[in-house]
Amino acid sequence: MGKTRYGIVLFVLLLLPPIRLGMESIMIVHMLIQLPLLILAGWLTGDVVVRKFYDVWDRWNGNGIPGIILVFFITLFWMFPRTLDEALTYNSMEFLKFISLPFVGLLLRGSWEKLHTLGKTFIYLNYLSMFGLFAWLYIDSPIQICNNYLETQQKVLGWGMLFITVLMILSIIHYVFTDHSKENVT
Amino acid sequence: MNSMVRKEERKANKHVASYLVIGGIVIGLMMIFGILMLLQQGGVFDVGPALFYQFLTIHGTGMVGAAALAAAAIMYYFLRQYVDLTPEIFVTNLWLFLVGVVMVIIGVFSFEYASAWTFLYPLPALSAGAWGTLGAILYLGGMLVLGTGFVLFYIDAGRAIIKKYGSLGKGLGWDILSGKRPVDKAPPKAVIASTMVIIVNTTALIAGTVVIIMNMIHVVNPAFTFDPLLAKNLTYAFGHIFANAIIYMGVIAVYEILPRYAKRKWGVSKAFLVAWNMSTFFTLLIYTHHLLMDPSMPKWALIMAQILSYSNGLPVLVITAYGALMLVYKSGIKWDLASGLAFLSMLGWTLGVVPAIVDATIVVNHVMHNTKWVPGHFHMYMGLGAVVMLFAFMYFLAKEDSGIKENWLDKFGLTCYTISFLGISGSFLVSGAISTPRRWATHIPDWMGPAVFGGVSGVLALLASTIFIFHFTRYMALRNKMGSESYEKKLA
Amino acid sequence: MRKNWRNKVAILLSVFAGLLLLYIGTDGFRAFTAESARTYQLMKEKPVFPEVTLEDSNNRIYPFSDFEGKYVMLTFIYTACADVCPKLGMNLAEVYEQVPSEFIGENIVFLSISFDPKRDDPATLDKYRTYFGSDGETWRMARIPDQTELDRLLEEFGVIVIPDDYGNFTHNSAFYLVDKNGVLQEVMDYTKIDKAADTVISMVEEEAGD
Ligand code: HEM
Repeated sequence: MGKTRYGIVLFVLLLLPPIRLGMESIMIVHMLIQLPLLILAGWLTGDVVVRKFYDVWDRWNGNGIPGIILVFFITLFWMFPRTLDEALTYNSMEFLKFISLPFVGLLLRGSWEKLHTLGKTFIYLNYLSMFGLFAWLYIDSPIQICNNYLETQQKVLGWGMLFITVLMILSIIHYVFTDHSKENVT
Repeated sequence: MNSMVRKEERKANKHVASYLVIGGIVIGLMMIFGILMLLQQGGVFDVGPALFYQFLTIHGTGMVGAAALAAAAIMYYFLRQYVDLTPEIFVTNLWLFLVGVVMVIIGVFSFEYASAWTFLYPLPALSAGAWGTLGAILYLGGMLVLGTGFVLFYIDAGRAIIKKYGSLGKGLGWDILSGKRPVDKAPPKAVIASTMVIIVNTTALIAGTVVIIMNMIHVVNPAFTFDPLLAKNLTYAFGHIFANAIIYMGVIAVYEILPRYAKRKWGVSKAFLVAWNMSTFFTLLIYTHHLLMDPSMPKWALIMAQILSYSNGLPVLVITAYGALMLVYKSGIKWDLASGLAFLSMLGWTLGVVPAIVDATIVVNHVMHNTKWVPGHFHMYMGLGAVVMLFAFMYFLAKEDSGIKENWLDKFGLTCYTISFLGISGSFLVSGAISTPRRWATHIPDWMGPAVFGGVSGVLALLASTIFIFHFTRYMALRNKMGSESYEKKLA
Repeated sequence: MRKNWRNKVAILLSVFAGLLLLYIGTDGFRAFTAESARTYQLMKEKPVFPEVTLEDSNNRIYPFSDFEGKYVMLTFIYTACADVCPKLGMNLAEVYEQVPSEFIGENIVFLSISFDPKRDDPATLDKYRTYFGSDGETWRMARIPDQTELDRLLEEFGVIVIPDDYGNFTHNSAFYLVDKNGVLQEVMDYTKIDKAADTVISMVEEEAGD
């Protein structure tokens, strides 16, 4: 399967020390590029896994809710300044990062499609407010939140998150105000 | 097929009734706190400032929460006649509401947390000693749980409207305004109003979530400090808009009840659509204004913004009040409690806006703004407007669903309620005019008179509300007794 | 319905697992930043002030153990610092003001330690101290000339100092209260002046009362 291969290649690339350390040296790249790419790697490989364990998966995660809850908590966990910080300081945290985020991608692959519009929208709005919150936190905090990054880097990350928040707002506005009468909304 | 539909309807009515009765009882209880506050301010007894602020917090949060809950039931009841809502979500919202309320109450009383319901940052943490971190967390967490329930409810309603009408824009009649479709193809008024509420309240709740979590972080971790102005603006935006939306949900009852009684059609006109779109737009504009507000803005902009934030509902009010008058005028309408209360609510809403506009125009020189003039204005339009719509709907539902009869007591309740709420809000306005500050636990002797008067009126209001709620519980008992068989017979 | 029970169990399990992850990851919802985790850890460990040699603004050289028998209220600064340190100094001055004068010098001394020994020689410190009304005696400003000693102290007290390209440092800030035996007692938020003063006064009073 092409997708799976891409996923694995991506994961290996991210593991390579020069790439890994390079990305982690800049806060915004660490959080907004490395972490999402890890999730993407998991998502790409997810197909195979989900298909392989289809029965189990369907029984325990039939409506996608358990999966998405885990996704939510794990990603929230990785948005904390502290976890980001500790991934640089402790190898165990770094290890956890490289395991848990591809796992998130996998869960996402097997859960998102199963959610109804209601669930999807709810999760979407949750992330929207989370990004808004963290943007505010990183931009506005008068103290240095991360010990491994300078305050200026923290601000850059904040603006990056604000950018994402604004994009998310625009896209939901676009969604609710364009015509869907010809589609089958569930 | 019919029996299936009816069974479902019966179940839906039951849920709606649960919402209303819970909302009504909570409103009644909160009135007690309101009375206690006024008596404290009037010097009748002295419970001390700490307890006063607990009362204030619980009264403000409880009233807004309970009224919003009951109003959501109105929205659900009528909206589901046009679009496909999910009953499970409606029930979930009720449960989350109850859980949230319990958390809020425990937070306020057991841990002595009382920052007043708009929990202005950095209040919750500053007095951490007195209130206790746990209390603050429970209170804020309770608000989050409440908010989650409402968000789910609005998402579901939005989804259903998009499914039926294509988009929220169409729910607000944009394709009619742009001339693509004729006016008689406009969505029903319940859909238009619901769409507006979905848009503004989802936005308000998201902003609210952000501030609440921010406050929680600050409570746990005081080293995190945030721009207090932004926090305050977000909080106000959240509180104002959420509270205002109560009336936009409640007014659906007026739209649906009055035409039935007047036996006339109350059609959607282009002006009606324009009004609702304007109010939606103004309400959202308040956010941007709150977000960007800074003291260096030119004065005219500040005045405009101020007027806007008080009168964002004006277009809707004008079109609705005018429509209601035209509808009733010489229609030979049959007056009973439902129609009478529905009509009263329009009067109350209109009356309540007048002091708001007075306030908005002179607020710039800071004479009235932090006086009891402000609670005067919102008690008038909440107490005589929004809450009356809730009671009107209770009587309407009771009659629709069980044919229960009203008696002289209910009529007495109507009179009593009207007079007493005029008394309460009047006393607030008088206090404001003599410069009594709001949110003060103790008043100097000059200020005590109106407070005592308000307290006595409050007792009457409580009495009247008890009558209304008593009637409603009688209906609920009746429909429980009626097996589904006799119910079918009645309908047949 | 029957098919659904696994799904329901899974929902509960995932909520539980998620909360557990957050709980563990934040020391029980207490520490969301490495900084607060550090403070939390410090308060638990209560490290002892390591043996270091100070050189103060009056050119005096002495070991830290000279302060034995007195409380020491500490901060870490560098004089070229333009943002946090002046604030830190100002706030410390306010705490200093609040402590009753009979305790000052007797039961407690104030000490600002520079972590930039190259630039902060005694002359620089002597000038710097005047900005905050420090008398150089009951509130001293000192550097630790020996870099290894300095590093050890910073390590023990969890002070993180990152030099940047322009000769500045990014560092974390707090008030530290060390007791008579050199044991760290409190790490306090330097923005909460009154709270810090209350803590300091009550500790010293309790001590003086014995
Ligand atoms: C018997 C009826 C009522 C009485 C006696 C009453 C009394 C009071 C009093 C004394 C205050 C504090 C005023 C101050 O000094 O600032 C207050 C505040 C408030 N009331 Fe009422 N009230 C009543 C009904 C209502 C209703 C029906 C609502 C809304 C649905 C409501 C919503 C509020 C709100 C939002 C506040 C502001 C709380 C704050 O400042 O944080 N009240 N009320």
